[in-house]
Amino acid sequence: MPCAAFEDLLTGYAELATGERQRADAHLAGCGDCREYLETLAALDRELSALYQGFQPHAGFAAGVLSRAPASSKPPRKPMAQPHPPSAWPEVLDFCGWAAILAIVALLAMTSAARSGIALRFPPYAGWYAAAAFAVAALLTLTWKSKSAVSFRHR
Amino acid sequence: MDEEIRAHLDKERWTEALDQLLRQYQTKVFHLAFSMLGNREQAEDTAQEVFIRVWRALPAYRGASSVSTWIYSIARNTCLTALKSAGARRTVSLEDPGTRAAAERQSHPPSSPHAPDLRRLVDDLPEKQRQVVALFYLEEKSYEDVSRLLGIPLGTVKTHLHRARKELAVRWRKEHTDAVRGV
Repeated sequence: MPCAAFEDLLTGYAELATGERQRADAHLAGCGDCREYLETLAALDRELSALYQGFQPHAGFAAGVLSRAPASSKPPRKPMAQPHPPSAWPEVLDFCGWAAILAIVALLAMTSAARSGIALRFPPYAGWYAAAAFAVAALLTLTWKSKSAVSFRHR
Repeated sequence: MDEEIRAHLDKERWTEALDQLLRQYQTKVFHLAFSMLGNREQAEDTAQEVFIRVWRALPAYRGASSVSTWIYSIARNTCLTALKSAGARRTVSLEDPGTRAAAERQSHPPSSPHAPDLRRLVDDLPEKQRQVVALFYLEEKSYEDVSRLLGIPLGTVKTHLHRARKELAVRWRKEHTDAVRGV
Protein backbone atom coordinates (compact mmCIF):
# COMPACT_ATOMS: atom_id res chain seq x y z
CA MET A 1 0.00 0.00 0.00
CA PRO A 2 1.30 3.48 -0.79
CA CYS A 3 1.69 6.17 1.86
CA ALA A 4 -1.70 7.84 2.39
CA ALA A 5 -0.18 11.32 1.99
CA PHE A 6 1.20 10.45 -1.46
CA GLU A 7 -1.46 8.12 -2.86
CA ASP A 8 -3.40 10.84 -4.71
CA LEU A 9 -0.24 12.51 -5.94
CA LEU A 10 1.13 9.25 -7.33
CA THR A 11 -2.19 8.26 -8.93
CA GLY A 12 -1.95 11.37 -11.09
CA TYR A 13 1.85 11.13 -11.46
CA ALA A 14 1.90 11.35 -15.27
CA GLU A 15 0.22 14.77 -15.21
CA LEU A 16 2.02 16.38 -12.29
CA ALA A 17 3.47 19.86 -12.64
CA THR A 18 7.23 20.22 -12.20
CA GLY A 19 7.13 21.18 -8.51
CA GLU A 20 4.75 18.38 -7.56
CA ARG A 21 6.76 15.90 -9.62
CA GLN A 22 9.94 16.84 -7.74
CA ARG A 23 8.16 16.36 -4.40
CA ALA A 24 6.85 12.95 -5.50
CA ASP A 25 10.27 11.88 -6.84
CA ALA A 26 11.96 12.88 -3.60
CA HIS A 27 9.53 10.69 -1.68
CA LEU A 28 9.78 7.80 -4.15
CA ALA A 29 13.56 7.71 -3.76
CA GLY A 30 13.13 6.54 -0.18
CA CYS A 31 9.82 4.63 -0.21
CA GLY A 32 9.59 1.12 -1.66
CA ASP A 33 5.82 0.79 -1.16
CA CYS A 34 5.13 3.94 -3.14
CA ARG A 35 7.53 2.84 -5.91
CA GLU A 36 5.67 -0.45 -6.10
CA TYR A 37 2.33 1.41 -6.27
CA LEU A 38 3.62 3.59 -9.10
CA GLU A 39 4.86 0.53 -10.99
CA THR A 40 1.44 -1.10 -10.54
CA LEU A 41 -0.24 2.01 -11.95
CA ALA A 42 2.08 2.01 -14.96
CA ALA A 43 1.46 -1.69 -15.61
CA LEU A 44 -2.26 -1.15 -15.22
CA ASP A 45 -2.13 1.67 -17.77
CA ARG A 46 -0.33 -0.57 -20.27
CA GLU A 47 -2.79 -3.42 -19.74
CA LEU A 48 -5.82 -1.16 -20.13
CA SER A 49 -4.39 0.34 -23.32
CA ALA A 50 -3.88 -3.17 -24.70
CA LEU A 51 -7.35 -4.27 -23.59
CA TYR A 52 -9.13 -1.54 -25.56
CA GLN A 53 -6.71 -1.21 -28.46
CA GLY A 54 -8.14 -1.38 -31.98
CA PHE A 55 -11.68 -1.73 -30.74
CA GLN A 56 -13.61 -0.88 -33.89
CA PRO A 57 -17.13 -1.56 -35.14
CA HIS A 58 -17.64 -4.47 -37.51
CA ALA A 59 -16.53 -3.90 -41.12
CA GLY A 60 -20.12 -4.00 -42.39
CA PHE A 61 -21.38 -1.50 -39.83
CA ALA A 62 -21.87 1.50 -42.16
CA ALA A 63 -23.30 -0.63 -44.97
CA GLY A 64 -25.78 -2.08 -42.49
CA VAL A 65 -26.99 1.36 -41.47
CA LEU A 66 -27.19 2.62 -45.06
CA SER A 67 -29.23 -0.38 -46.09
CA ARG A 68 -31.60 0.00 -43.13
CA ALA A 69 -31.97 3.79 -43.13
CA PRO A 70 -33.98 4.41 -46.32
CA ALA A 71 -36.18 1.40 -45.63
CA SER A 72 -36.74 2.21 -41.99
CA SER A 73 -39.07 5.09 -42.71
CA LYS A 74 -40.21 7.37 -45.47
CA PRO A 75 -37.42 9.68 -46.68
CA PRO A 76 -37.00 12.49 -44.19
CA ARG A 77 -39.08 15.53 -44.82
CA LYS A 78 -38.88 19.11 -43.76
CA PRO A 79 -40.95 19.75 -40.64
CA MET A 80 -44.54 20.81 -41.24
CA ALA A 81 -45.04 24.44 -42.25
CA GLN A 82 -46.43 26.77 -39.64
CA PRO A 83 -50.20 27.21 -39.75
CA HIS A 84 -51.64 30.28 -41.45
CA PRO A 85 -51.78 33.45 -39.34
CA PRO A 86 -55.18 34.11 -37.83
CA SER A 87 -57.64 35.98 -40.04
CA ALA A 88 -59.16 39.33 -38.94
CA TRP A 89 -62.53 38.43 -40.40
CA PRO A 90 -64.03 36.57 -37.42
CA GLU A 91 -63.33 39.58 -35.20
CA VAL A 92 -64.81 42.01 -37.73
CA LEU A 93 -67.93 39.88 -38.08
CA ASP A 94 -68.09 39.65 -34.29
CA PHE A 95 -67.94 43.44 -34.05
CA CYS A 96 -70.66 43.85 -36.73
CA GLY A 97 -72.86 41.34 -34.89
CA TRP A 98 -72.66 43.25 -31.62
CA ALA A 99 -73.26 46.56 -33.43
CA ALA A 100 -76.37 45.10 -35.08
CA ILE A 101 -77.68 43.86 -31.71
CA LEU A 102 -77.14 47.31 -30.17
CA ALA A 103 -78.91 48.99 -33.15
CA ILE A 104 -81.92 46.63 -32.83
CA VAL A 105 -82.14 47.26 -29.07
CA ALA A 106 -81.99 51.03 -29.68
CA LEU A 107 -84.65 50.78 -32.43
CA LEU A 108 -86.97 48.74 -30.17
CA ALA A 109 -86.50 51.25 -27.34
CA MET A 110 -87.33 54.16 -29.67
CA THR A 111 -90.44 52.36 -31.05
CA SER A 112 -91.62 51.51 -27.55
CA ALA A 113 -91.11 55.12 -26.45
CA ALA A 114 -93.05 56.44 -29.48
CA ARG A 115 -95.99 54.09 -28.71
CA SER A 116 -96.03 55.26 -25.12
CA GLY A 117 -96.34 58.85 -26.31
CA ILE A 118 -92.89 59.86 -25.14
CA ALA A 119 -91.42 62.40 -27.48
CA LEU A 120 -87.72 61.70 -28.06
CA ARG A 121 -85.49 64.65 -28.74
CA PHE A 122 -82.07 64.12 -30.28
CA PRO A 123 -79.34 66.75 -30.54
CA PRO A 124 -78.52 67.99 -34.03
CA TYR A 125 -76.32 65.63 -36.13
CA ALA A 126 -76.86 62.75 -33.60
CA GLY A 127 -77.02 60.25 -36.47
CA TRP A 128 -73.67 61.47 -37.84
CA TYR A 129 -72.07 61.19 -34.43
CA ALA A 130 -73.32 57.58 -34.05
CA ALA A 131 -72.04 56.68 -37.52
CA ALA A 132 -68.62 58.23 -36.76
CA ALA A 133 -68.36 56.30 -33.44
CA PHE A 134 -69.25 53.09 -35.28
CA ALA A 135 -66.55 53.73 -37.91
CA VAL A 136 -63.85 54.50 -35.30
CA ALA A 137 -64.70 51.34 -33.34
CA ALA A 138 -64.53 49.25 -36.54
CA LEU A 139 -61.17 50.83 -37.49
CA LEU A 140 -59.69 50.11 -34.04
CA THR A 141 -60.83 46.49 -34.20
CA LEU A 142 -59.24 46.00 -37.63
CA THR A 143 -55.95 47.66 -36.61
CA TRP A 144 -55.65 45.52 -33.47
CA LYS A 145 -56.36 42.31 -35.37
CA SER A 146 -53.88 43.04 -38.16
CA LYS A 147 -51.13 43.70 -35.55
CA SER A 148 -51.87 40.32 -33.95
CA ALA A 149 -51.55 38.63 -37.34
CA VAL A 150 -48.14 40.29 -38.02
CA SER A 151 -46.74 39.31 -34.62
CA PHE A 152 -47.89 35.73 -35.22
CA ARG A 153 -45.98 35.63 -38.53
CA HIS A 154 -42.76 36.76 -36.81
CA ARG A 155 -42.89 34.15 -34.04
CA MET B 1 -15.88 17.97 -41.98
CA ASP B 2 -18.89 19.43 -40.20
CA GLU B 3 -19.12 22.03 -42.98
CA GLU B 4 -19.47 19.26 -45.55
CA ILE B 5 -22.26 17.70 -43.53
CA ARG B 6 -24.02 21.04 -43.14
CA ALA B 7 -23.70 21.65 -46.90
CA HIS B 8 -25.38 18.30 -47.60
CA LEU B 9 -28.13 19.12 -45.12
CA ASP B 10 -28.72 22.58 -46.62
CA LYS B 11 -29.24 20.99 -50.02
CA GLU B 12 -31.37 18.19 -48.56
CA ARG B 13 -28.92 15.51 -49.71
CA TRP B 14 -29.87 13.23 -46.83
CA THR B 15 -28.14 10.03 -47.91
CA GLU B 16 -24.86 11.83 -48.58
CA ALA B 17 -25.13 13.53 -45.19
CA LEU B 18 -25.70 10.18 -43.46
CA ASP B 19 -22.79 8.63 -45.34
CA GLN B 20 -20.52 11.45 -44.19
CA LEU B 21 -21.78 11.21 -40.61
CA LEU B 22 -21.09 7.49 -40.57
CA ARG B 23 -17.56 7.95 -41.81
CA GLN B 24 -16.86 10.61 -39.23
CA TYR B 25 -18.69 9.36 -36.16
CA GLN B 26 -19.29 5.60 -36.35
CA THR B 27 -16.25 4.66 -34.27
CA LYS B 28 -16.91 7.26 -31.59
CA VAL B 29 -20.60 6.34 -31.34
CA PHE B 30 -19.64 2.66 -31.14
CA HIS B 31 -17.13 3.42 -28.39
CA LEU B 32 -19.72 5.42 -26.47
CA ALA B 33 -22.27 2.61 -26.81
CA PHE B 34 -19.73 0.03 -25.68
CA SER B 35 -18.72 2.10 -22.66
CA MET B 36 -22.36 2.46 -21.62
CA LEU B 37 -23.62 -1.04 -22.44
CA GLY B 38 -20.49 -3.09 -21.74
CA ASN B 39 -21.26 -5.61 -24.46
CA ARG B 40 -19.86 -5.59 -27.97
CA GLU B 41 -22.88 -7.03 -29.82
CA GLN B 42 -25.36 -4.84 -28.02
CA ALA B 43 -23.10 -1.83 -28.55
CA GLU B 44 -22.98 -2.46 -32.30
CA ASP B 45 -26.76 -2.90 -32.59
CA THR B 46 -27.39 0.22 -30.52
CA ALA B 47 -24.83 2.25 -32.46
CA GLN B 48 -26.64 1.29 -35.68
CA GLU B 49 -29.93 2.32 -34.08
CA VAL B 50 -28.32 5.68 -33.23
CA PHE B 51 -27.62 6.35 -36.90
CA ILE B 52 -31.14 5.29 -37.90
CA ARG B 53 -32.47 7.86 -35.42
CA VAL B 54 -30.03 10.43 -36.77
CA TRP B 55 -31.28 9.70 -40.28
CA ARG B 56 -34.88 10.29 -39.24
CA ALA B 57 -33.98 13.47 -37.40
CA LEU B 58 -31.79 15.00 -40.13
CA PRO B 59 -34.42 17.46 -41.43
CA ALA B 60 -35.01 18.74 -37.90
CA TYR B 61 -31.33 19.56 -37.30
CA ARG B 62 -31.14 23.35 -37.07
CA GLY B 63 -27.44 23.74 -36.41
CA ALA B 64 -27.99 25.31 -32.98
CA SER B 65 -25.36 22.96 -31.55
CA SER B 66 -22.39 21.36 -33.28
CA VAL B 67 -23.00 18.16 -35.24
CA SER B 68 -20.96 16.14 -32.74
CA THR B 69 -22.91 17.47 -29.73
CA TRP B 70 -26.17 16.66 -31.51
CA ILE B 71 -25.12 13.11 -32.44
CA TYR B 72 -23.62 12.30 -29.03
CA SER B 73 -26.82 13.45 -27.36
CA ILE B 74 -28.89 11.14 -29.57
CA ALA B 75 -26.38 8.34 -28.90
CA ARG B 76 -26.55 8.73 -25.11
CA ASN B 77 -30.36 8.74 -25.16
CA THR B 78 -30.47 5.68 -27.42
CA CYS B 79 -28.05 3.81 -25.14
CA LEU B 80 -30.12 4.71 -22.07
CA THR B 81 -33.23 3.41 -23.82
CA ALA B 82 -31.36 0.22 -24.76
CA LEU B 83 -30.22 -0.21 -21.17
CA LYS B 84 -33.76 0.13 -19.87
CA SER B 85 -35.50 -1.99 -22.50
CA ALA B 86 -33.03 -4.85 -22.43
CA GLY B 87 -32.94 -4.97 -18.68
CA ALA B 88 -29.40 -3.72 -19.07
CA ARG B 89 -26.07 -5.38 -18.92
CA ARG B 90 -26.56 -6.31 -15.28
CA THR B 91 -29.39 -8.66 -16.29
CA VAL B 92 -27.15 -10.25 -18.88
CA SER B 93 -24.53 -10.83 -16.19
CA LEU B 94 -27.07 -12.31 -13.78
CA GLU B 95 -28.54 -14.61 -16.40
CA ASP B 96 -25.24 -15.97 -17.49
CA PRO B 97 -22.37 -14.65 -15.42
CA GLY B 98 -19.62 -16.61 -17.07
CA THR B 99 -20.44 -16.46 -20.75
CA ARG B 100 -19.58 -12.88 -21.55
CA ALA B 101 -16.47 -12.78 -19.41
CA ALA B 102 -15.26 -16.02 -20.98
CA ALA B 103 -15.88 -14.70 -24.48
CA GLU B 104 -14.09 -11.46 -23.73
CA ARG B 105 -11.17 -13.34 -22.16
CA GLN B 106 -10.82 -15.32 -25.38
CA SER B 107 -10.44 -12.13 -27.39
CA HIS B 108 -8.16 -10.51 -24.79
CA PRO B 109 -6.22 -13.27 -23.03
CA PRO B 110 -4.33 -12.26 -19.86
CA SER B 111 -0.75 -11.24 -20.57
CA SER B 112 0.64 -13.76 -18.05
CA PRO B 113 -0.72 -16.78 -16.13
CA HIS B 114 -0.85 -14.69 -12.93
CA ALA B 115 -2.32 -11.58 -14.55
CA PRO B 116 -5.67 -10.66 -13.00
CA ASP B 117 -8.78 -10.55 -15.17
CA LEU B 118 -8.70 -6.84 -15.88
CA ARG B 119 -11.98 -6.76 -17.80
CA ARG B 120 -13.78 -8.18 -14.78
CA LEU B 121 -12.12 -5.65 -12.48
CA VAL B 122 -13.27 -2.82 -14.76
CA ASP B 123 -16.78 -4.28 -14.90
CA ASP B 124 -16.93 -4.26 -11.10
CA LEU B 125 -16.29 -0.51 -10.91
CA PRO B 126 -19.20 1.87 -10.26
CA GLU B 127 -21.16 2.68 -13.43
CA LYS B 128 -19.70 6.12 -14.20
CA GLN B 129 -16.13 5.12 -13.41
CA ARG B 130 -16.47 2.07 -15.67
CA GLN B 131 -17.77 4.21 -18.54
CA VAL B 132 -15.01 6.78 -18.14
CA VAL B 133 -12.23 4.17 -17.95
CA ALA B 134 -13.48 2.33 -21.04
CA LEU B 135 -13.94 5.50 -23.07
CA PHE B 136 -10.63 7.00 -21.94
CA TYR B 137 -8.67 4.04 -23.29
CA LEU B 138 -10.92 3.54 -26.32
CA GLU B 139 -10.42 7.19 -27.23
CA GLU B 140 -6.66 6.98 -26.86
CA LYS B 141 -6.49 8.81 -23.54
CA SER B 142 -8.28 11.98 -24.58
CA TYR B 143 -10.01 13.60 -21.60
CA GLU B 144 -11.73 16.06 -23.95
CA ASP B 145 -13.26 13.34 -26.10
CA VAL B 146 -14.55 11.48 -23.04
CA SER B 147 -16.06 14.72 -21.74
CA ARG B 148 -17.78 15.46 -25.06
CA LEU B 149 -19.03 11.90 -25.59
CA LEU B 150 -20.48 11.47 -22.11
CA GLY B 151 -21.67 15.09 -21.91
CA ILE B 152 -19.99 15.69 -18.54
CA PRO B 153 -17.45 18.33 -17.47
CA LEU B 154 -13.73 17.70 -17.96
CA GLY B 155 -13.09 17.92 -14.21
CA THR B 156 -15.69 15.22 -13.55
CA VAL B 157 -13.98 12.94 -16.08
CA LYS B 158 -10.64 13.40 -14.31
CA THR B 159 -12.19 12.76 -10.91
CA HIS B 160 -13.86 9.52 -12.05
CA LEU B 161 -10.66 8.35 -13.72
CA HIS B 162 -8.55 9.17 -10.68
CA ARG B 163 -10.83 7.20 -8.35
CA ALA B 164 -11.04 4.30 -10.81
CA ARG B 165 -7.24 4.10 -11.11
CA LYS B 166 -6.83 4.01 -7.36
CA GLU B 167 -9.45 1.28 -7.01
CA LEU B 168 -8.12 -0.78 -9.91
CA ALA B 169 -4.52 -0.51 -8.74
CA VAL B 170 -5.38 -1.81 -5.27
CA ARG B 171 -7.53 -4.70 -6.55
CA TRP B 172 -5.15 -5.58 -9.37
CA ARG B 173 -2.20 -5.71 -7.00
CA LYS B 174 -4.15 -7.82 -4.51
CA GLU B 175 -5.36 -10.34 -7.14
CA HIS B 176 -1.89 -10.56 -8.64
CA THR B 177 -0.36 -11.29 -5.23
CA ASP B 178 -3.07 -13.85 -4.44
CA ALA B 179 -2.48 -15.58 -7.79
CA VAL B 180 1.29 -15.81 -7.24
CA ARG B 181 0.75 -17.26 -3.75
CA GLY B 182 -1.80 -19.70 -5.18
CA VAL B 183 -4.65 -18.50 -2.93
